[in-house]
Amino acid sequence: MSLFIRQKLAFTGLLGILLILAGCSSGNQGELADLSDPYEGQNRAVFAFNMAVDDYALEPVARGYRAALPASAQQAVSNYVDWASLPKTAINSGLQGRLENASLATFRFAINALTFGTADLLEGEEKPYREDMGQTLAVYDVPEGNYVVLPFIGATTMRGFAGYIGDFMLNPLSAIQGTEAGTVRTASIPVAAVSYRAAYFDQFNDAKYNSLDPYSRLKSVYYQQRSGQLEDNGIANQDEDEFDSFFTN
Amino acid sequence: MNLTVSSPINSGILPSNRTMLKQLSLLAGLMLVMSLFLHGPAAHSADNIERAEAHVNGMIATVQARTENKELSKEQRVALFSEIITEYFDIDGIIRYTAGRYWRLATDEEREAYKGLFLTILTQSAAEQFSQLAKLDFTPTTSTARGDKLVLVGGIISDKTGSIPDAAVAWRVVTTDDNPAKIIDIEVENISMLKTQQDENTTIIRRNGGKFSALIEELEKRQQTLLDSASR
Repeated sequence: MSLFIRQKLAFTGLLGILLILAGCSSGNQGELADLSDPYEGQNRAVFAFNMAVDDYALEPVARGYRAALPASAQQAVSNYVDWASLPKTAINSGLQGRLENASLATFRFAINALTFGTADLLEGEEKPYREDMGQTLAVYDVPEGNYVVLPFIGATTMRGFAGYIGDFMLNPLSAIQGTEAGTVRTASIPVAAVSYRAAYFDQFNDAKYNSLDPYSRLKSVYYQQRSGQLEDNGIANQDEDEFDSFFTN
Repeated sequence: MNLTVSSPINSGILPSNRTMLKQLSLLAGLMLVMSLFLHGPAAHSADNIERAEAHVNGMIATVQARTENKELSKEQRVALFSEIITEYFDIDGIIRYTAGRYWRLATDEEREAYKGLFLTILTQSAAEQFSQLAKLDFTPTTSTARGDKLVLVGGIISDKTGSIPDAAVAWRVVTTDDNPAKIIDIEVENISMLKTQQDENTTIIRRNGGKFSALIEELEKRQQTLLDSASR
């Protein structure tokens, strides 16, 4: 059995287990902040570990990256990271039935492949909405599950984690082993982490150093960001403003 | 043979002038009510959006004009932001909301302490960001009414120096009929500052057994850190 097929089978099994776990542990959507975090103790321990990784590795590397690389080179790396995520968007858009978005992502990927993604040859043109397997699972009504903080990956939910693994396995580069594509795939993750950390250096540091409780701030940011992405999928309710409670508190 | 020619009105085929007038007034009244239902909310929303946009544009013009003066001392910067916050933001509402459900459980002294610390930290932090704020540009995009009291005024914030990526922002503005428009929140890339602060504050209180004083202690520490960094 080829490694690729074994990977797919392992993925299917793992995804199934995670989806069951997500279903078992779904919290009340309206009280996310408190109720969907039954693993808060463990999550805070992992969060502390991730912050230590940031202290000793990611933040210094991102600082050096900002200082050493000219803005144009940083932009090229950022373009590459965006470009490398387009197959994920195309596949998940297709799975969600959003064919126009899938076509946009595929077209953009094909055109920008001419520069290996480092230059955006379609600048100013309509961009596809970013889609991932977590959003696809949400479209198929898979429960969100509890909030979890994972080593190196950071904040997610059980559904998000299942989606993360799904995206990793369905990445077209996963099918190619022992070639440069494999190296590119492996290198993409730390490159993306450094590029993202550098692009949002001050904002991240603000949350890390200036908040009263960085854990709860980043958890709140994660849920709000996710909710915004799900609005793009037409899942969240846009008619009512959650701040209506501003007048009743 | 006495022929009586009766008019359609007299014969009852058509209603009398009086009945007709009554029916017309009823119809006009009905149309007025319907038009209020059909067009009232839309007109009200458009009016609210206009008020909210004018309010946000006014605030941005004030910030841009006032941050041009690079010679302001730290104290002057704090005073400037204190003025802007009082004039353009619903600070009492913001303070109440960020304490979440624990606001009702707080004593009057705790509320006053929280309010004082919250305002000090907000203005101190804004004053620290003074030079960064002066580098930002705001380009309005679209505004949308959210319910009948809130408007989201959208736009893009860009850094004139290009060192920070463009960000989509939305100012959440309260536009109730009786009061002037006030900002209650800023959303950056779908992240609400108000909601984030509420989540953070309520987590601190919850993890300390529901004690509001725990939040005040944390804020005092934060204030001290800000004062220390300002004095350096």
